[in-house]
Amino acid sequence: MKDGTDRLILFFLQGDGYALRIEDVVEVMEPPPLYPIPRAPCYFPGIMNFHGSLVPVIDLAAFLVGTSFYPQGQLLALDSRIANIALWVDSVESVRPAEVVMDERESDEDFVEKMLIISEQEVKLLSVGKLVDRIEEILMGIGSFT
Amino acid sequence: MHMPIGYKFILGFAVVIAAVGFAPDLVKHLGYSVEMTTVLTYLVAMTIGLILGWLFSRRFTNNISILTDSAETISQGDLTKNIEIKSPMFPDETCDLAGSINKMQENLRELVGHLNSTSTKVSESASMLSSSVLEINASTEEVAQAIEQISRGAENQAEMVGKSSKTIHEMAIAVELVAKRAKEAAKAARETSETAKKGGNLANDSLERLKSFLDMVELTGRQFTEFNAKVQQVGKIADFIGEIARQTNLLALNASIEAARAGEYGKGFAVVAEEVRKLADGTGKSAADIIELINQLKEQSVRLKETIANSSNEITISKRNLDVTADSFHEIINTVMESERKSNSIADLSQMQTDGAAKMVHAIDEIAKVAEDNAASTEEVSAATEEQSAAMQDMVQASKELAKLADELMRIVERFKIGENRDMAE
Repeated sequence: MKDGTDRLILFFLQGDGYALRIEDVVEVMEPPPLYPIPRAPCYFPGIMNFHGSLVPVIDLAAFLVGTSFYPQGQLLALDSRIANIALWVDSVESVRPAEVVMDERESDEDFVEKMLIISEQEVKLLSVGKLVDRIEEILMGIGSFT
Repeated sequence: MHMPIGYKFILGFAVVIAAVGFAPDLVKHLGYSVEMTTVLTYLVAMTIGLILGWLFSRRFTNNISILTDSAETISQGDLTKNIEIKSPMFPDETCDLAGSINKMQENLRELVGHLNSTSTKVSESASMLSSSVLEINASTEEVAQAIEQISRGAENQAEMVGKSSKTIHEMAIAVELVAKRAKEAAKAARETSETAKKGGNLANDSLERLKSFLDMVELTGRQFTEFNAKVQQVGKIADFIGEIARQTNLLALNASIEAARAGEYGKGFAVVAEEVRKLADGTGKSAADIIELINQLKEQSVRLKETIANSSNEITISKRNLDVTADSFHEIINTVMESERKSNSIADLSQMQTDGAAKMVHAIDEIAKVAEDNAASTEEVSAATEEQSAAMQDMVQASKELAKLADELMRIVERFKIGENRDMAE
Protein backbone atom coordinates (compact mmCIF):
# COMPACT_ATOMS: atom_id res chain seq x y z
CA MET A 1 0.00 0.00 0.00
CA LYS A 2 2.90 2.36 0.63
CA ASP A 3 4.90 1.98 -2.54
CA GLY A 4 4.33 5.57 -3.54
CA THR A 5 2.10 4.82 -6.53
CA ASP A 6 -0.99 3.45 -4.86
CA ARG A 7 -3.83 5.87 -4.49
CA LEU A 8 -7.15 5.51 -2.84
CA ILE A 9 -10.42 7.06 -3.67
CA LEU A 10 -12.36 7.84 -0.49
CA PHE A 11 -16.12 8.02 -0.30
CA PHE A 12 -18.88 7.86 2.27
CA LEU A 13 -21.79 5.58 2.89
CA GLN A 14 -24.22 6.48 5.63
CA GLY A 15 -21.55 8.58 7.34
CA ASP A 16 -18.94 5.86 7.30
CA GLY A 17 -15.71 6.20 5.35
CA TYR A 18 -14.97 3.72 2.58
CA ALA A 19 -12.14 3.43 0.11
CA LEU A 20 -11.40 1.79 -3.22
CA ARG A 21 -8.15 1.46 -5.00
CA ILE A 22 -8.11 4.06 -7.65
CA GLU A 23 -7.13 1.59 -10.39
CA ASP A 24 -10.45 -0.16 -9.79
CA VAL A 25 -12.39 3.00 -10.71
CA VAL A 26 -12.49 4.58 -14.13
CA GLU A 27 -14.75 7.55 -13.48
CA VAL A 28 -16.62 9.49 -10.90
CA MET A 29 -19.85 10.91 -12.21
CA GLU A 30 -23.13 12.49 -11.30
CA PRO A 31 -26.08 10.12 -11.29
CA PRO A 32 -27.52 9.96 -14.84
CA PRO A 33 -31.10 8.92 -15.62
CA LEU A 34 -31.63 5.32 -14.57
CA TYR A 35 -33.72 2.72 -16.21
CA PRO A 36 -35.21 0.46 -13.60
CA ILE A 37 -35.37 -3.27 -14.08
CA PRO A 38 -38.56 -5.03 -13.01
CA ARG A 39 -38.42 -7.38 -10.06
CA ALA A 40 -34.81 -6.32 -9.33
CA PRO A 41 -33.67 -6.16 -5.71
CA CYS A 42 -33.91 -2.86 -3.89
CA TYR A 43 -30.14 -2.24 -4.05
CA PHE A 44 -30.38 -2.43 -7.85
CA PRO A 45 -32.09 0.80 -8.86
CA GLY A 46 -31.58 0.40 -12.56
CA ILE A 47 -29.31 0.58 -15.57
CA MET A 48 -27.56 3.63 -16.94
CA ASN A 49 -26.07 4.69 -20.21
CA PHE A 50 -22.36 4.96 -19.62
CA HIS A 51 -20.66 6.23 -22.77
CA GLY A 52 -22.92 4.09 -24.95
CA SER A 53 -22.73 0.97 -22.78
CA LEU A 54 -25.45 -0.30 -20.48
CA VAL A 55 -24.06 -0.49 -17.01
CA PRO A 56 -26.01 -1.72 -13.98
CA VAL A 57 -25.97 0.60 -10.98
CA ILE A 58 -25.64 -0.86 -7.52
CA ASP A 59 -26.82 1.06 -4.47
CA LEU A 60 -23.82 0.25 -2.35
CA ALA A 61 -25.42 1.57 0.87
CA ALA A 62 -28.43 -0.66 0.40
CA PHE A 63 -26.23 -3.55 -0.59
CA LEU A 64 -23.78 -3.25 2.31
CA VAL A 65 -25.70 -1.60 5.09
CA GLY A 66 -29.26 -2.33 4.12
CA THR A 67 -30.52 1.25 3.97
CA SER A 68 -31.74 3.20 0.96
CA PHE A 69 -29.30 5.16 -1.19
CA TYR A 70 -28.57 8.83 -0.91
CA PRO A 71 -30.42 10.59 -3.79
CA GLN A 72 -27.80 13.29 -4.19
CA GLY A 73 -24.97 10.77 -4.31
CA GLN A 74 -22.36 10.07 -6.94
CA LEU A 75 -21.47 7.09 -9.04
CA LEU A 76 -18.20 5.26 -9.15
CA ALA A 77 -17.84 3.48 -12.44
CA LEU A 78 -15.62 0.45 -12.04
CA ASP A 79 -13.01 -0.55 -14.47
CA SER A 80 -14.66 -2.59 -17.22
CA ARG A 81 -11.84 -5.07 -16.93
CA ILE A 82 -13.19 -5.86 -13.47
CA ALA A 83 -16.85 -5.46 -14.13
CA ASN A 84 -19.29 -3.20 -15.96
CA ILE A 85 -20.80 -1.96 -12.76
CA ALA A 86 -21.29 1.47 -11.25
CA LEU A 87 -21.52 1.92 -7.51
CA TRP A 88 -23.89 4.53 -6.07
CA VAL A 89 -22.25 6.14 -3.05
CA ASP A 90 -23.32 9.06 -0.90
CA SER A 91 -20.40 11.25 -1.81
CA VAL A 92 -16.84 10.95 -3.06
CA GLU A 93 -14.46 12.84 -0.90
CA SER A 94 -11.10 12.78 -2.53
CA VAL A 95 -8.30 10.79 -4.08
CA ARG A 96 -5.56 10.25 -1.57
CA PRO A 97 -2.16 8.68 -1.88
CA ALA A 98 -1.55 5.56 0.13
CA GLU A 99 0.90 7.47 2.33
CA VAL A 100 -1.96 9.01 4.21
CA VAL A 101 -2.81 5.64 5.67
CA MET A 102 -1.48 5.78 9.20
CA ASP A 103 -2.40 2.27 10.14
CA GLU A 104 -4.27 -0.70 8.84
CA ARG A 105 -5.65 -3.94 10.12
CA GLU A 106 -7.59 -6.90 8.95
CA SER A 107 -11.36 -6.89 9.05
CA ASP A 108 -13.79 -9.75 9.24
CA GLU A 109 -16.64 -7.77 7.67
CA ASP A 110 -17.96 -8.95 4.37
CA PHE A 111 -16.42 -7.29 1.32
CA VAL A 112 -14.01 -5.32 3.54
CA GLU A 113 -10.44 -6.07 2.71
CA LYS A 114 -8.80 -3.98 5.38
CA MET A 115 -9.61 -1.40 7.95
CA LEU A 116 -7.46 1.71 7.28
CA ILE A 117 -6.78 4.58 9.64
CA ILE A 118 -6.60 7.85 7.71
CA SER A 119 -6.47 11.14 9.52
CA GLU A 120 -7.41 9.33 12.72
CA GLN A 121 -10.55 7.99 11.13
CA GLU A 122 -11.42 4.47 10.20
CA VAL A 123 -11.90 3.82 6.50
CA LYS A 124 -13.04 0.50 5.16
CA LEU A 125 -11.07 -0.61 2.11
CA LEU A 126 -13.52 -2.59 0.02
CA SER A 127 -12.50 -5.80 -1.66
CA VAL A 128 -13.69 -5.11 -5.19
CA GLY A 129 -13.19 -8.70 -6.27
CA LYS A 130 -15.44 -10.16 -3.61
CA LEU A 131 -17.96 -7.40 -4.12
CA VAL A 132 -18.05 -7.89 -7.87
CA ASP A 133 -18.30 -11.65 -7.52
CA ARG A 134 -21.22 -11.34 -5.26
CA ILE A 135 -22.91 -8.78 -7.46
CA GLU A 136 -22.38 -10.87 -10.50
CA GLU A 137 -23.89 -13.79 -8.73
CA ILE A 138 -26.89 -11.74 -7.96
CA LEU A 139 -27.09 -10.33 -11.46
CA MET A 140 -26.73 -13.77 -12.94
CA GLY A 141 -29.53 -14.88 -10.67
CA ILE A 142 -31.72 -12.12 -11.98
CA GLY A 143 -30.81 -12.91 -15.53
CA SER A 144 -31.52 -16.63 -15.08
CA PHE A 145 -34.78 -15.77 -13.49
CA THR A 146 -35.77 -13.61 -16.38
CA MET B 1 -150.44 115.24 118.91
CA HIS B 2 -146.96 114.51 120.21
CA MET B 3 -146.50 114.90 123.87
CA PRO B 4 -143.25 114.33 125.59
CA ILE B 5 -143.18 112.09 128.64
CA GLY B 6 -142.09 114.95 130.83
CA TYR B 7 -145.18 116.86 129.86
CA LYS B 8 -147.23 113.83 130.58
CA PHE B 9 -145.67 113.56 134.01
CA ILE B 10 -146.28 117.22 134.58
CA LEU B 11 -149.84 116.78 133.34
CA GLY B 12 -150.39 113.82 135.64
CA PHE B 13 -148.83 115.66 138.53
CA ALA B 14 -151.11 118.56 137.73
CA VAL B 15 -154.12 116.21 137.56
CA VAL B 16 -153.14 114.69 140.92
CA ILE B 17 -152.74 118.14 142.37
CA ALA B 18 -156.09 119.12 140.89
CA ALA B 19 -157.66 115.97 142.25
CA VAL B 20 -156.15 116.66 145.65
CA GLY B 21 -157.40 120.17 145.38
CA PHE B 22 -160.83 119.32 144.22
CA ALA B 23 -161.31 116.10 146.31
CA PRO B 24 -162.17 117.82 149.69
CA ASP B 25 -164.92 119.73 148.07
CA LEU B 26 -166.26 116.62 146.57
CA VAL B 27 -165.88 114.70 149.86
CA LYS B 28 -167.66 117.47 151.73
CA HIS B 29 -170.63 116.96 149.66
CA LEU B 30 -170.76 113.49 151.09
CA GLY B 31 -171.22 114.84 154.48
CA TYR B 32 -168.71 113.07 156.52
CA SER B 33 -166.89 114.27 159.45
CA VAL B 34 -163.99 116.43 158.97
CA GLU B 35 -161.63 113.78 159.97
CA MET B 36 -163.40 111.38 157.86
CA THR B 37 -163.56 113.87 155.09
CA THR B 38 -159.87 114.51 155.45
CA VAL B 39 -159.11 110.82 155.36
CA LEU B 40 -161.41 110.29 152.46
CA THR B 41 -159.97 113.31 150.76
CA TYR B 42 -156.55 111.81 151.04
CA LEU B 43 -157.87 108.48 149.99
CA VAL B 44 -159.72 109.95 147.01
CA ALA B 45 -156.82 112.09 146.15
CA MET B 46 -154.51 109.08 146.44
CA THR B 47 -156.87 106.88 144.48
CA ILE B 48 -157.35 109.41 141.78
CA GLY B 49 -153.64 109.93 141.77
CA LEU B 50 -153.01 106.21 141.58
CA ILE B 51 -155.57 105.71 138.92
CA LEU B 52 -154.33 108.55 136.87
CA GLY B 53 -150.74 107.45 137.50
CA TRP B 54 -151.59 103.90 136.46
CA LEU B 55 -153.43 105.21 133.47
CA PHE B 56 -150.53 107.39 132.49
CA SER B 57 -147.78 104.88 133.29
CA ARG B 58 -149.53 101.83 131.84
CA ARG B 59 -148.98 102.78 128.12
CA PHE B 60 -145.55 104.10 128.91
CA THR B 61 -144.62 101.01 130.81
CA ASN B 62 -146.06 98.80 128.07
CA ASN B 63 -144.12 100.66 125.39
CA ILE B 64 -140.97 100.49 127.48
CA SER B 65 -141.53 96.78 127.94
CA ILE B 66 -142.01 96.32 124.19
CA LEU B 67 -138.90 98.34 123.57
CA THR B 68 -137.03 96.34 126.17
CA ASP B 69 -138.18 93.08 124.60
CA SER B 70 -137.28 94.37 121.18
CA ALA B 71 -133.89 95.49 122.40
CA GLU B 72 -133.44 92.08 124.00
CA THR B 73 -134.46 90.40 120.75
CA ILE B 74 -132.12 92.64 118.75
CA SER B 75 -129.38 92.02 121.23
CA GLN B 76 -129.86 88.30 120.53
CA GLY B 77 -129.42 88.99 116.85
CA ASP B 78 -133.02 88.67 115.82
CA LEU B 79 -133.69 91.54 113.48
CA THR B 80 -136.79 90.05 111.96
CA LYS B 81 -139.39 91.61 114.20
CA ASN B 82 -140.23 95.28 114.02
CA ILE B 83 -141.57 97.01 117.11
CA GLU B 84 -145.26 97.52 116.79
CA ILE B 85 -146.64 100.06 119.24
CA LYS B 86 -150.23 101.19 119.09
CA SER B 87 -150.27 104.69 118.19
CA PRO B 88 -151.56 106.54 121.32
CA MET B 89 -153.52 109.66 121.29
CA PHE B 90 -150.50 111.43 122.39
CA PRO B 91 -147.36 109.74 121.07
CA ASP B 92 -144.36 110.21 123.19
CA GLU B 93 -140.63 109.44 123.08
CA THR B 94 -141.30 105.67 123.28
CA CYS B 95 -143.04 105.92 119.97
CA ASP B 96 -140.06 107.84 118.65
CA LEU B 97 -137.73 105.33 120.26
CA ALA B 98 -139.69 102.46 118.70
CA GLY B 99 -139.47 104.16 115.35
CA SER B 100 -135.78 104.80 115.81
CA ILE B 101 -135.23 101.21 116.91
CA ASN B 102 -137.21 99.97 113.92
CA LYS B 103 -135.15 102.22 111.70
CA MET B 104 -132.00 101.06 113.47
CA GLN B 105 -133.15 97.46 113.04
CA GLU B 106 -133.89 98.15 109.42
CA ASN B 107 -130.43 99.59 109.00
CA LEU B 108 -128.96 96.70 110.92
CA ARG B 109 -130.82 94.25 108.69
CA GLU B 110 -129.56 96.04 105.67
CA LEU B 111 -126.06 96.12 107.18
CA VAL B 112 -126.20 92.48 108.20
CA GLY B 113 -127.60 91.62 104.80
CA HIS B 114 -124.75 93.45 103.19
CA LEU B 115 -122.34 91.85 105.60
CA ASN B 116 -123.85 88.48 104.93
CA SER B 117 -123.73 88.86 101.18
CA THR B 118 -120.34 90.48 101.33
CA SER B 119 -118.93 87.82 103.61
CA THR B 120 -120.46 85.18 101.38
CA LYS B 121 -118.91 86.82 98.38
CA VAL B 122 -115.66 87.25 100.30
CA SER B 123 -115.78 83.62 101.30
CA GLU B 124 -116.55 82.56 97.76
CA SER B 125 -113.91 84.94 96.46
CA ALA B 126 -111.48 83.65 99.08
CA SER B 127 -112.28 80.12 98.05
CA MET B 128 -111.91 81.07 94.40
CA LEU B 129 -108.81 83.02 95.27
CA SER B 130 -107.51 80.08 97.22
CA SER B 131 -108.26 77.69 94.36
CA SER B 132 -106.92 80.21 91.87
CA VAL B 133 -103.87 80.72 93.98
CA LEU B 134 -103.53 76.97 94.24
CA GLU B 135 -103.87 76.71 90.51
CA ILE B 136 -101.49 79.60 90.08
CA ASN B 137 -99.22 77.96 92.57
CA ALA B 138 -99.46 74.71 90.66
CA SER B 139 -98.94 76.60 87.45
CA THR B 140 -96.13 78.49 89.06
CA GLU B 141 -94.60 75.22 90.18
CA GLU B 142 -95.05 73.88 86.68
CA VAL B 143 -93.61 77.11 85.37
CA ALA B 144 -90.80 76.76 87.88
CA GLN B 145 -90.21 73.19 86.78
CA ALA B 146 -90.43 74.29 83.18
CA ILE B 147 -88.09 77.16 83.84
CA GLU B 148 -85.79 74.86 85.72
CA GLN B 149 -85.95 72.52 82.77
CA ILE B 150 -85.43 75.51 80.52
CA SER B 151 -82.54 76.50 82.74
CA ARG B 152 -81.04 73.03 82.44
CA GLY B 153 -81.83 73.14 78.74
CA ALA B 154 -80.22 76.53 78.53
CA GLU B 155 -77.17 75.19 80.33
CA ASN B 156 -77.12 72.20 78.00
CA GLN B 157 -77.75 74.57 75.14
CA ALA B 158 -74.87 76.74 76.27
CA GLU B 159 -72.70 73.64 76.61
CA MET B 160 -73.81 72.31 73.25
CA VAL B 161 -73.40 75.71 71.69
CA GLY B 162 -69.92 75.77 73.19
CA LYS B 163 -69.17 72.39 71.66
CA SER B 164 -70.82 73.52 68.44
CA SER B 165 -68.70 76.64 68.52
CA LYS B 166 -65.60 74.49 68.93
CA THR B 167 -66.76 72.20 66.16
CA ILE B 168 -67.59 75.13 63.90
CA HIS B 169 -64.21 76.64 64.68
CA GLU B 170 -62.61 73.37 63.67
CA MET B 171 -64.92 73.17 60.68
CA ALA B 172 -63.96 76.71 59.74
CA ILE B 173 -60.32 75.67 59.90
CA ALA B 174 -61.16 72.59 57.82
CA VAL B 175 -63.10 74.73 55.36
CA GLU B 176 -60.15 77.07 55.13
CA LEU B 177 -57.88 74.09 54.50
CA VAL B 178 -60.36 72.82 51.92
CA ALA B 179 -60.31 76.23 50.26
CA LYS B 180 -56.52 76.15 50.28
CA ARG B 181 -56.52 72.63 48.85
CA ALA B 182 -59.15 73.66 46.31
CA LYS B 183 -56.88 76.50 45.18
CA GLU B 184 -54.01 74.07 44.97
CA ALA B 185 -56.27 71.63 43.09
CA ALA B 186 -57.29 74.42 40.71
CA LYS B 187 -53.63 75.27 40.19
CA ALA B 188 -52.85 71.58 39.67
CA ALA B 189 -55.79 71.32 37.28
CA ARG B 190 -54.40 74.27 35.30
CA GLU B 191 -50.99 72.65 35.24
CA THR B 192 -52.60 69.32 34.32
CA SER B 193 -54.50 71.08 31.57
CA GLU B 194 -51.28 72.56 30.23
CA THR B 195 -49.56 69.19 30.56
CA ALA B 196 -52.48 67.47 28.85
CA LYS B 197 -52.31 70.01 26.03
CA LYS B 198 -48.59 69.38 25.71
CA GLY B 199 -49.29 65.65 25.89
CA GLY B 200 -51.94 66.03 23.18
CA ASN B 201 -49.51 67.95 20.99
CA LEU B 202 -46.83 65.36 21.66
CA ALA B 203 -49.32 62.59 20.90
CA ASN B 204 -50.23 64.27 17.61
CA ASP B 205 -46.56 64.76 16.85
CA SER B 206 -45.88 61.14 17.80
CA LEU B 207 -48.77 60.08 15.60
CA GLU B 208 -47.33 61.99 12.64
CA ARG B 209 -43.89 60.61 13.36
CA LEU B 210 -45.30 57.13 13.70
CA LYS B 211 -47.14 57.50 10.40
CA SER B 212 -43.87 58.58 8.86
CA PHE B 213 -42.17 55.68 10.58
CA LEU B 214 -44.84 53.33 9.26
CA ASP B 215 -44.25 54.65 5.75
CA MET B 216 -40.54 54.15 6.29
CA VAL B 217 -41.21 50.64 7.53
CA GLU B 218 -43.29 49.93 4.46
CA LEU B 219 -40.49 51.35 2.33
CA THR B 220 -38.04 49.23 4.29
CA GLY B 221 -40.27 46.24 3.63
CA ARG B 222 -40.23 46.94 -0.11
CA GLN B 223 -36.48 47.53 -0.03
CA PHE B 224 -36.09 44.37 1.96
CA THR B 225 -38.14 42.48 -0.63
CA GLU B 226 -35.83 43.81 -3.31
CA PHE B 227 -32.85 42.94 -1.15
CA ASN B 228 -34.27 39.50 -0.63
CA ALA B 229 -34.69 39.04 -4.36
CA LYS B 230 -31.06 40.02 -4.85
CA VAL B 231 -30.06 37.63 -2.11
CA GLN B 232 -32.01 34.99 -3.96
CA GLN B 233 -30.03 35.86 -7.07
CA VAL B 234 -26.81 35.65 -5.08
CA GLY B 235 -28.02 32.29 -3.78
CA LYS B 236 -28.62 31.12 -7.30
CA ILE B 237 -25.15 32.31 -8.27
CA ALA B 238 -23.75 30.56 -5.23
CA ASP B 239 -25.64 27.44 -6.22
CA PHE B 240 -24.19 27.79 -9.65
CA ILE B 241 -20.72 28.27 -8.20
CA GLY B 242 -21.32 25.28 -5.96
CA GLU B 243 -22.39 23.27 -8.97
CA ILE B 244 -19.32 24.41 -10.87
CA ALA B 245 -17.19 23.50 -7.86
CA ARG B 246 -18.89 20.15 -7.69
CA GLN B 247 -18.32 19.55 -11.36
CA THR B 248 -14.76 20.79 -11.02
CA ASN B 249 -14.28 18.50 -8.08
CA LEU B 250 -15.68 15.71 -10.12
CA LEU B 251 -13.35 16.58 -12.99
CA ALA B 252 -10.46 16.76 -10.58
CA LEU B 253 -11.35 13.38 -9.20
CA ASN B 254 -11.60 11.92 -12.65
CA ALA B 255 -8.35 13.66 -13.58
CA SER B 256 -6.75 12.06 -10.55
CA ILE B 257 -8.14 8.73 -11.67
CA GLU B 258 -6.83 9.24 -15.16
CA ALA B 259 -3.48 10.34 -13.77
CA ALA B 260 -3.35 7.27 -11.61
CA ARG B 261 -4.20 5.13 -14.54
CA ALA B 262 -1.43 6.84 -16.51
CA GLY B 263 1.01 5.43 -13.98
CA GLU B 264 4.33 7.09 -13.58
CA TYR B 265 3.57 9.53 -16.37
CA GLY B 266 0.53 10.86 -14.72
CA LYS B 267 2.07 11.82 -11.43
CA GLY B 268 2.50 15.46 -12.31
CA PHE B 269 -1.00 15.58 -13.70
CA ALA B 270 -2.21 13.90 -10.55
CA VAL B 271 -0.67 16.69 -8.54
CA VAL B 272 -2.38 19.30 -10.71
CA ALA B 273 -5.62 17.39 -10.49
CA GLU B 274 -5.27 17.22 -6.75
CA GLU B 275 -4.67 20.96 -6.57
CA VAL B 276 -7.65 21.56 -8.83
CA ARG B 277 -9.66 19.28 -6.66
CA LYS B 278 -8.57 21.20 -3.59
CA LEU B 279 -9.50 24.48 -5.26
CA ALA B 280 -12.80 23.03 -6.32
CA ASP B 281 -13.28 21.66 -2.88
CA GLY B 282 -12.47 25.06 -1.34
CA THR B 283 -14.71 26.74 -3.89
CA GLY B 284 -17.41 24.25 -3.11
CA LYS B 285 -17.00 24.80 0.60
CA SER B 286 -17.04 28.56 0.09
CA ALA B 287 -20.05 28.21 -2.15
CA ALA B 288 -21.61 25.96 0.47
CA ASP B 289 -20.76 28.56 3.08
CA ILE B 290 -22.30 31.25 0.90
CA ILE B 291 -25.34 29.06 0.33
CA GLU B 292 -25.49 28.37 4.04
CA LEU B 293 -25.19 32.07 4.76
CA ILE B 294 -27.79 32.82 2.15
CA ASN B 295 -30.02 30.15 3.63
CA GLN B 296 -29.50 31.72 7.00
CA LEU B 297 -30.17 35.09 5.37
CA LYS B 298 -33.30 33.62 3.86
CA GLU B 299 -34.41 32.26 7.19
CA GLN B 300 -33.56 35.51 8.88
CA SER B 301 -35.18 37.45 6.08
CA VAL B 302 -38.30 35.32 6.46
CA ARG B 303 -38.26 36.00 10.19
CA LEU B 304 -37.42 39.61 9.53
CA LYS B 305 -40.22 39.82 7.02
CA GLU B 306 -42.57 38.28 9.54
CA THR B 307 -41.21 40.67 12.14
CA ILE B 308 -41.68 43.60 9.77
CA ALA B 309 -45.17 42.36 8.94
CA ASN B 310 -45.91 41.93 12.62
CA SER B 311 -44.35 45.30 13.31
CA SER B 312 -46.41 46.77 10.53
CA ASN B 313 -49.51 45.22 12.02
CA GLU B 314 -48.47 46.35 15.46
CA ILE B 315 -47.75 49.80 14.11
CA THR B 316 -51.13 49.82 12.40
CA ILE B 317 -52.71 48.82 15.69
CA SER B 318 -50.50 51.37 17.45
CA LYS B 319 -51.60 53.96 14.92
CA ARG B 320 -55.22 53.18 15.70
CA ASN B 321 -54.35 53.20 19.38
CA LEU B 322 -52.56 56.50 18.89
CA ASP B 323 -55.64 57.83 17.13
CA VAL B 324 -57.64 56.64 20.11
CA THR B 325 -54.95 58.08 22.40
CA ALA B 326 -55.12 61.39 20.56
CA ASP B 327 -58.88 61.35 20.89
CA SER B 328 -58.46 60.36 24.53
CA PHE B 329 -56.01 63.21 24.99
CA HIS B 330 -58.54 65.51 23.38
CA GLU B 331 -61.21 64.20 25.74
CA ILE B 332 -58.73 64.38 28.63
CA ILE B 333 -57.96 67.96 27.72
CA ASN B 334 -61.66 68.76 27.59
CA THR B 335 -62.22 66.89 30.84
CA VAL B 336 -59.22 68.55 32.46
CA MET B 337 -60.40 71.95 31.26
CA GLU B 338 -63.82 71.15 32.67
CA SER B 339 -62.10 69.95 35.85
CA GLU B 340 -60.11 73.19 35.90
CA ARG B 341 -63.31 75.19 35.53
CA LYS B 342 -64.95 73.14 38.26
CA SER B 343 -61.86 73.38 40.43
CA ASN B 344 -61.90 77.15 40.02
CA SER B 345 -65.59 77.12 40.84
CA ILE B 346 -64.86 74.90 43.85
CA ALA B 347 -62.08 77.26 44.89
CA ASP B 348 -64.45 80.24 44.62
CA LEU B 349 -67.15 78.35 46.47
CA SER B 350 -64.62 77.28 49.08
CA GLN B 351 -63.63 80.91 49.51
CA MET B 352 -67.31 81.74 49.94
CA GLN B 353 -67.53 78.86 52.38
CA THR B 354 -64.56 80.25 54.24
CA ASP B 355 -66.23 83.66 54.45
CA GLY B 356 -69.49 81.99 55.44
CA ALA B 357 -67.63 79.88 58.00
CA ALA B 358 -66.07 83.03 59.47
CA LYS B 359 -69.51 84.62 59.71
CA MET B 360 -70.83 81.36 61.13
CA VAL B 361 -68.05 81.39 63.71
CA HIS B 362 -68.94 84.96 64.62
CA ALA B 363 -72.63 84.07 64.74
CA ILE B 364 -72.04 80.95 66.82
CA ASP B 365 -69.91 83.00 69.19
CA GLU B 366 -72.79 85.45 69.49
CA ILE B 367 -75.17 82.52 69.95
CA ALA B 368 -72.89 81.08 72.60
CA LYS B 369 -72.85 84.42 74.36
CA VAL B 370 -76.64 84.71 74.09
CA ALA B 371 -76.98 81.11 75.26
CA GLU B 372 -74.81 81.89 78.28
CA ASP B 373 -76.88 85.01 78.95
CA ASN B 374 -80.02 82.93 78.49
CA ALA B 375 -78.69 80.34 80.91
CA ALA B 376 -77.91 83.06 83.42
CA SER B 377 -81.29 84.72 82.82
CA THR B 378 -83.13 81.44 83.14
CA GLU B 379 -81.31 80.83 86.39
CA GLU B 380 -82.44 84.25 87.54
CA VAL B 381 -85.95 83.52 86.28
CA SER B 382 -85.82 80.18 88.04
CA ALA B 383 -84.79 81.90 91.24
CA ALA B 384 -87.54 84.52 90.73
CA THR B 385 -89.99 81.74 90.03
CA GLU B 386 -88.98 80.01 93.21
CA GLU B 387 -89.52 83.27 95.04
CA GLN B 388 -92.82 83.69 93.25
CA SER B 389 -93.72 80.16 94.21
CA ALA B 390 -92.89 80.96 97.81
CA ALA B 391 -94.97 84.15 97.52
CA MET B 392 -97.77 82.10 96.02
CA GLN B 393 -97.50 79.73 98.95
CA ASP B 394 -97.83 82.74 101.23
CA MET B 395 -100.74 83.93 99.12
CA VAL B 396 -102.34 80.53 99.41
CA GLN B 397 -101.88 80.71 103.11
CA ALA B 398 -103.28 84.27 103.15
CA SER B 399 -106.22 83.27 100.97
CA LYS B 400 -106.91 80.40 103.35
CA GLU B 401 -106.74 82.83 106.20
CA LEU B 402 -109.05 85.16 104.33
CA ALA B 403 -111.47 82.33 103.61
CA LYS B 404 -111.30 81.38 107.26
CA LEU B 405 -111.99 84.98 108.28
CA ALA B 406 -114.83 85.15 105.75
CA ASP B 407 -116.28 81.95 107.19
CA GLU B 408 -115.92 83.31 110.67
CA LEU B 409 -117.54 86.57 109.59
CA MET B 410 -120.31 84.59 108.01
CA ARG B 411 -120.79 82.60 111.18
CA ILE B 412 -120.91 85.87 113.09
CA VAL B 413 -123.30 87.43 110.65
CA GLU B 414 -125.43 84.32 110.58
CA ARG B 415 -126.33 84.99 114.20
CA PHE B 416 -128.35 87.89 112.97
CA LYS B 417 -131.78 86.92 111.70
CA ILE B 418 -133.06 89.24 109.12
CA GLY B 419 -135.78 87.10 107.54
CA GLU B 420 -136.10 84.92 104.46
CA ASN B 421 -137.25 87.58 102.09
CA ARG B 422 -134.61 89.87 103.23
CA ASP B 423 -131.95 87.19 102.80
CA MET B 424 -133.28 86.25 99.43
CA ALA B 425 -133.52 89.86 98.45
CA GLU B 426 -129.99 90.40 99.53
